[in-house]
Amino acid sequence: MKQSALTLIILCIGLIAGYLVYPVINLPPVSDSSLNPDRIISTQHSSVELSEAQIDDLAARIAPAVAEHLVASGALVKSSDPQLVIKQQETAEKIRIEKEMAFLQAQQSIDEMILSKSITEAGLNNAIQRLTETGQEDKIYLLRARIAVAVNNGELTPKQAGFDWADSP
Amino acid sequence: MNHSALLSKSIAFVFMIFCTAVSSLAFAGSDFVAQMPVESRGKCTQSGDIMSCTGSFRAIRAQQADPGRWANVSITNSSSGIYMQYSGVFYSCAAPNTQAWRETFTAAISSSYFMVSYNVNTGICTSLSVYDGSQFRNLSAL
Repeated sequence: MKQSALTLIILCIGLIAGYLVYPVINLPPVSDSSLNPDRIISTQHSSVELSEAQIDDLAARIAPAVAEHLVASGALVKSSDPQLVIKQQETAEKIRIEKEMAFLQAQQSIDEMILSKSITEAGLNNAIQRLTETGQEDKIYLLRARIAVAVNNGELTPKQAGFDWADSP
Repeated sequence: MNHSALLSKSIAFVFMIFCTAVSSLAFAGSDFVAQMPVESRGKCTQSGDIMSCTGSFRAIRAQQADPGRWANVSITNSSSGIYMQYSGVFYSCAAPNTQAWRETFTAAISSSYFMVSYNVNTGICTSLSVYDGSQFRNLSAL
C-alpha cells in the first residue's frame, strides 16, 4: 500500500516535470540573419532591353521556350524605344561587318602567301590572330582548308605550305 | 652413345630450333602483309567533287608498292586535319575544331584503317570513319 502511494507520487512528479520542461526543450532555433530563408532564396533581378528582332534572333539560337520564358519573366524586355532599337541594330551590324572584314583580311593574307609560294608561320599566326581577336576561332580551319586546296592542286608544295614533316614521313 | 655423337645431336637440335624461329618470323611478316585489307594500304579515289582516302598508319608503312606513300594526322587547339601522299600526289583536308572531329582523328591514328572524305574545291573534310575488327589482326598497332 505504502509502495503504491510512492509510485503514484513519483508518476505525478514526472508528469508535472514533463509539463514544465516541454516548452523549454522545444524552443524555436536561434534565428541567424545570415540563414534567413528569405535571404537565401533571394536573387538579383536584372533585365535587358532588346528589340523584337533581337529577341527573335535569340530565340533562334536558344530554345524558343527558354526565350519565351525569359520574356515572360521580365529578364528580356521588348524595347518600345525606336532609337534604342536602331542603335542596337547598328551595333550588331557593325560587329558583323567587322567580323566579316577580319575573315576576308585573314583569307587574303593566306591567298597572298599562296601566291608567293611560302606559307610562313608568322603569316599564318597573324591570320589566325585576326580571327581569334574577332571571336571567330571556329573559322580557323577554313584558312587551313584553303592551304590544303592549294597543296592538293599543286599550287604549293607541301614544304612551301609549311609541312616540313612531309619529306620525312 | 659416345660424347661426339651426343654433341652433334645437340648442335643439330639447336640449329633446328634456330631455323624454326627464323622461318616463323619470316612467315609472320608475309602473313601480316597478306592479311592487310586493301583499304589499309593507302589509297585515294575521287568521285565528283568528293575525294576519299583510306589507309592505316601501320599498313601504309609496311607496304612496299609505293615508297613515297605516307599519312599524317594533325590535331591542334584550333583545327585538325589529315595529310596523305599517294602515288606522288598530295591529298589533304582540314576539319572544324570540334571535339567529335578531334576524337575521331585521334581514333584514326590507331585504327585498323580510316576513311576520310573531303570536298576537292574547299579542302574541308566532310567525313571521317575509323574501322577496326578482330579479323584485322596486328593492324591496329602503330
